[in-house]
Order: sequence, then structure tokens, then C-alpha cells
Amino acid sequence: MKNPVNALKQTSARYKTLDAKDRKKFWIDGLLNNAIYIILVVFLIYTYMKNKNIASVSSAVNLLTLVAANLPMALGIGGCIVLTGTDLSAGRVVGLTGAISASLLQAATYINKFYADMGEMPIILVILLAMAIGGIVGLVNGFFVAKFELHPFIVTLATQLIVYGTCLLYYMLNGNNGQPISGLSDKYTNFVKGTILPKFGGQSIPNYVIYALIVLAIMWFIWNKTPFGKNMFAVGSNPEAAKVSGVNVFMTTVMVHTLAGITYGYTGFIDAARIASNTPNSGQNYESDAIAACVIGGVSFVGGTGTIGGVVLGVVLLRIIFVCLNYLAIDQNLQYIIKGAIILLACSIDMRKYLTKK
Amino acid sequence: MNLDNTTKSDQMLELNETTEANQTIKPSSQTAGMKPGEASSGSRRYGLFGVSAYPEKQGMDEEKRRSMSRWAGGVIIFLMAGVLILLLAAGSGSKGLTVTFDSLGGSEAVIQSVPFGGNVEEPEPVVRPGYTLKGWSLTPDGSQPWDFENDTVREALTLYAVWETVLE
Repeated sequence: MKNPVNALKQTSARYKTLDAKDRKKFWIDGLLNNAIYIILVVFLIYTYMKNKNIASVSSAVNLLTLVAANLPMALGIGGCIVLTGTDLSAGRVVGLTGAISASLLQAATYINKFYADMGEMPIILVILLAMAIGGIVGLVNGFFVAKFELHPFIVTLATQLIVYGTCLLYYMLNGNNGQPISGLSDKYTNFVKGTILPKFGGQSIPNYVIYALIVLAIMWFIWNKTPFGKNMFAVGSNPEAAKVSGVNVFMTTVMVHTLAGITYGYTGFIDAARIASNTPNSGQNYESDAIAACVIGGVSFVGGTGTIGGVVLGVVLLRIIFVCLNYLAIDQNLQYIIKGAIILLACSIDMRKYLTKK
Repeated sequence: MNLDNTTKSDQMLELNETTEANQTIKPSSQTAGMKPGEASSGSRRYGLFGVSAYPEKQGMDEEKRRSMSRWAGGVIIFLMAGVLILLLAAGSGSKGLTVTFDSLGGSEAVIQSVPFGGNVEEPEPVVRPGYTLKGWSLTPDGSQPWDFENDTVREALTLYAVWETVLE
């Protein structure tokens, strides 16, 4: 990451060499390019004026937990977007893997236990199973995208439906008949929502924040330090050139989607414990938040560009905005309109910056 | 210096505007050897100005038209931001979330309206003959005690009194 102090020094040195007309252009361009941050600061101040509670420790910790819950998925889907694709099946995969995780880790004494005669399953086995199932869906996505050169939109649209149907059928198994799956075991709940960190300002930080940091570190390593990561960016910016340079475009595409699927499986495992009561509609539309976060964070649909830091920033920005909307007591229905407008605005600003760059 | 830069960016915009929509723009290092109109295979792209394939307007020179369309993009963004601000200002209110107290057989406790993310004020102690009040909980069975100091309200909720029988 660039040293911000050096960047500031360079910018001010360059500014001094500009003449009057270019200085005006500098300020206007600077305003528009960083508009999203300026808007965010103004927005936060406005929210604080309306509801002082936003400046509390509980609010900050709540934001941290929301970011931790949404980050792994955004990191996975970011890979697909770097390949100039998308992944519409993400939310439903989270729902399916969440249902499977929950059904395998219910409390032994729960009356409506899904698998009534099953003993206690080790948590590590369930998390691996969830990630494997997510990975298989990703593998299928990647295979069809790579083999038949279909656009990821249509492939993931199809798998989204297939996964949703599978999830609905799963809820009908074992006499459950579509009931929500809840009554999770204490061990599972504590593993995800419990806390080993000391309380911060009276608020406890759940364990899944730590796990999200681990996922973040792994993804950073994959994107920046492995040949696979470099290949991913090469294929994203120009598949023909990548192929000619010796990159296995087929395997890269398949692996990117599989990796994304693994992150969805992980998210399903965490989410099942986080929301505690899982229904067939769990996970619906999760991908839209993840994609919006990636695009706001600079992972452009053009492909070939994006950084891990950008994805994190996008998730944080989006969550801050969504949290502020709640603090402003805005009607839930109006919140949808505002969220859509914000995403449109943020992406337009981002695209404009790219368009006017030399 | 700057003159060169604007020329290059104008060339890129020309590439974008005079070719069909969905053509790609590559960073200048990659377009160095390309002629305008020559498309490179690879990723698709939807640009803010990329959809315009209007023929040159009469009487307006290339430079001015391009600079105008760049300003148009900026104006549209400001307009969108303005609409957003209006929506936010109109929609934001100070409606609090309702917290009701169910004393499960004891005396009444007053309903509170707490702003999002705020703490619940501990109500006046409720009484029930033969019992002492231990605290309040999110569930009637007392399994999720509410911490008035640290817990914050994020949705409308009901707090149930937790009673303990007075030992004779």
C-alpha cells in the first residue's frame, strides 16, 4: 500500500506546478474522485446530529461484527468480479450450507431435532463440509463458465435456482417439513458468537470477527503472493493475452469460482449460528450487498482491477451507510430506495474517475 | 506536460465515442499501437459516455463537445447526489423503537421509546406479592438477561420480569 504521507507530498508538489486553470480542475476532480469519502463523513456527522447513539462503543462494535459477517463473501465474489463476471448464486449457497450446518449442530436436547438419533458432530467436520459443499457449487459454476464460455451471469443464475430448490428440498427432509431449523447447540453458538477476547467498553467481540480476520489474511495472501492470484488478474484484464502468455485460463476460472464457493460455505456456517433460526429464505440477496461492496471498493466490472484493501473498504463503507440509515429511523421501505441510489451514485463516481484518467 | 495528457485522454474518449457501445478502453500503455476504431478482444465495458454514438453535431468542434460531455457526467452525478440528500432529509425522523415491559403478574411498567442503538432506562421497580424482582430478560423464562448498562436496542422488543420467590 502506498505511503499516504509520501502521496500527499507528491500531490502538493505537483499542485504547485499547475497554473490557475489546472488548479481549478484539480480541486473539482479531487472533489469528485473522493466524493464517496466526503459524502460519508458528511453523512456520519448528519447522523450524529440526529441520533447521538451512533458515536458509542456499542455502535462501533456492532459495525465491526457486521463487517466481519459480510467480508468473507465479498472477498470471494470479488474474485469473480475481477474475472469480469459475477456470481448470483452466492446468497442461496449461504442458505443451503447454513441449513446443513445448523441441522448437524443442533442441541442434543432439542425437541425438534433434525437428525433425531445423531450424536454430537465435531464442529471442524461441519465447517469443512459446509466449505466443501460451497466449493462444489463454485466448481460447477467455474466449469460451465470456462468450458462453454458462458457468461457467469447466466451460469450462476441457473445454479442459484438449483441451489435454492435443493435447499427447499433439504428443509422437507426427516419430517421437518419446511420448519425453521433452530435450537442450535451451545458449543456451536459459543464457537461462533462466544468471545475469547476481553470486553471492549462493555461490549463483547464475537469470535467470528477473529475468524474473518483469518479469512482476510488468507485471501490477501492468495491474491497478492501466489501465481494463482496474478493469473486471476491477468485473465481478468485480457484472457487472450493471458492464454498466449501461458496462463491456464480454464483452471484459473474454475479455481476462482471454487474459491468463491468455499467462502460462501464458510459464510453459511457462520451465519447459521449468527441468526440462530434458519429458514429457506436465509441468505437471500446476500450477493447484492457483496457485489455492491466490491464495486464501491474499486473492484470494477471492467475486470483485472481490484485490491483486497479495496474490498474491505467497500464493505466498511457500505455497512456504515446501512447502519446510519437505521440510526436515522428511516422507514424500512424507503431504505431500499436510498440503498439503491447510493450504490448507483458510488459506482457512477467510481466509473467517472476511471473514464477521465489518462 | 499537461497538454500531452489532455490529448491522450481525448484520444481515449474518441475511441470510446466513435466506436460501437461495449467496446473496451485499455490503459494508454496498451493502446499505444492501436488505431482508433480497432477493437481489442477481451472484457466488455459499459462506460458512462460509451453508449453515445452520436455523429458530430454541426457547428461544434470536437474539443468543445468532448469537454461538454464530461461536464454533463459531473452534473448528472451532482443531481443524483442532490436527490439522495433530499430523500435522506425527508425520510429521516426521530421515531424511537418501542420497548414494552411485561411484568408477568406484577405491577405496570411504563412503555419506553428508545432511539435506535440507545440504552433502555431501568424502569421503576415493579412489585408482585410473594416475589422479589431479579431483573428483566428478553425471554419469559429469564434465560436472556438484559443489561441496562450495556445492551442497546436495535428493534422493538419486550422485556419480561424475572421473579424469585421470597423464601419464608
